[in-house]
Amino acid sequence: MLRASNIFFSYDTIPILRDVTLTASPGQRIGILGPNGAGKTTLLRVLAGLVIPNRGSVELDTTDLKDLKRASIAKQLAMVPQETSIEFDYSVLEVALMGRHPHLGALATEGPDDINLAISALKLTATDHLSDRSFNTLSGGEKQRVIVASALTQLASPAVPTNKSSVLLLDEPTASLDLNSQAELLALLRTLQAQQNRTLIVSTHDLNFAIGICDYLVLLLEGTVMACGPIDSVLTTANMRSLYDADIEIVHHQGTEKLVALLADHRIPHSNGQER
Amino acid sequence: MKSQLGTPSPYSKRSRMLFMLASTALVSCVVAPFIGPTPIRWDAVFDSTQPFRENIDAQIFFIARLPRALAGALVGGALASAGVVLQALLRNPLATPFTLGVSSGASLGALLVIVLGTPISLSVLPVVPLASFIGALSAVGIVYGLSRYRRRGLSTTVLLLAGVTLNSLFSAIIMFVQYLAEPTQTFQAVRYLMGNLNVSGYSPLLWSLPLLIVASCAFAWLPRSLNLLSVSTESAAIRGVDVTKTQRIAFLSASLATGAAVSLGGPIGFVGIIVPHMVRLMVGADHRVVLPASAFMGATFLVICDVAARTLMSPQELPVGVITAMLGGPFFLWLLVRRV
Repeated sequence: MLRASNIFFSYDTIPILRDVTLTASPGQRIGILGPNGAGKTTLLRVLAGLVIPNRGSVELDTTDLKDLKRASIAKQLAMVPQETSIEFDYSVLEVALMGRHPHLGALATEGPDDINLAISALKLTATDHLSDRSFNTLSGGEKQRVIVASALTQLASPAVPTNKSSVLLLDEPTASLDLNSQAELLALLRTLQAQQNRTLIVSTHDLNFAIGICDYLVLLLEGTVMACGPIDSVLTTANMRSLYDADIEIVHHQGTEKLVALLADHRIPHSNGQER
Repeated sequence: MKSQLGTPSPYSKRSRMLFMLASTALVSCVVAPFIGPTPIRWDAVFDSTQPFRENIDAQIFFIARLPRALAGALVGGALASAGVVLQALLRNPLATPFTLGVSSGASLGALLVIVLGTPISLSVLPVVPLASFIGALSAVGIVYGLSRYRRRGLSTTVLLLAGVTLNSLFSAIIMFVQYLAEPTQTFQAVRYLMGNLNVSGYSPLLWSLPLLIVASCAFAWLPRSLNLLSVSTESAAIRGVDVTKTQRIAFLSASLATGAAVSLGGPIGFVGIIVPHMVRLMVGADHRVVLPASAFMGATFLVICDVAARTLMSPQELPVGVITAMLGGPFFLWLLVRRV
């Protein structure tokens, strides 16, 4: 369980997060929604222990993150940043194997077990055929999947007792992906969820992506939680309109009965017929 | 470069590569002393029937040339591995051991001693190397202090900018001191600044050895964390690296190695950037291979360059710093073009 209580955070004097409280239980798929600048990325960084909040605390299985070493946090918690660009020419397998870092002693090298874990993570993300390729030659979508594989390699551990939770944070995973890659990522995250009792926390401003994967939403507006709860109760037209200050409508898709978010422009095409 | 997935074969290939490079470095240290303006014979050097005091060949080998080859190997290895560490730390493939002001600090220290002399007689101590080492550490101290001033961790941007600025500042002071100095002193200083492995005897080596051993221990601990740091500090932290501690150790050990190298051979340029890149073209990016491979290759490279410096215009001796760039530059360009 990952629990953030009454988080306040500011960069210099600019307040970013104000009294944010969030509890993530095993198996939960939490979406953090909000407009640009709402504090989504900062909240993820606080949850990952990358920055220490000015007030409030984050607990991983009842231990304050401040009291844990980076390596022990890393065994249970991984994060996929928005974008990863690497100066040096690592192979895809090497990038995936970087996930084994917290599990290895200072001078140890990865053994066959570690390599197998990395390869099965690459298989899961459908990137195993790229394993000898240079990371830098991949497309944006492929890079994203390899980084997800690296995060999975990090969390994969037969040694971690089952009573410890395992948390995967994704920061705007669809931001730089085309529709095809978005669909692939969505499918991948669903597979992950079906396989493991892992907590997933995704920050996004893509409503339909959130609908596709999340079962619980936190609406973040100007650093405060505007609303939170199960997706069916929180994802309403009224909430989305005040969150994004835009003419959005949440409708049930006929046939599948799934929720769909529509922008005003999509409902009423412009007179010149241009959709934007 | 094809690797068999699922088997540890990439690693055994790496060990073979490292073994090969280490052997090459060793061979170059042994062969280099045989090459020089005065020819010496292999059988005479190791002729145990002749006493050492009367064996000229053995004296040339063991007193004049072997320490020099070893100095070349130590300096080359130290500069190349410091280059690797700083490139990863700064996430900048163009960083060199001298980017952060170490060499200009060392040069200023050496120059001040050359020009001003020492107030007390310090004939027991190697004065110029010591002064350059102190100069190097002062520069490092200033850069390190500045980069920590506002944050808990190290700010690599501040590190880089402070280093570059300090380099310019020290260079200006160096020119100022040279301008005021006597011509002979200026000449001596210029020669020092060109980089030169003119050591005889083993005591300069013994002075720098403890520093290099400390740095090497840190280098042995660093590589996997460096891989992660070279991606980004944030992803390193996520993967369990103690970023602040690692950055500190990387910066200080690289500076220590550079300081020791510069005090031994002066600011010999180019080794710290060209060797890591050659190695990366050969073995990829993993610092667990790149770091030791660069140390071995840097050693070989500088020993060979020094042989060239001693022999190309014999009996005139060229500064090895001139050779590293003149020999290494075209070779590196060829490697780049061949690769593309």
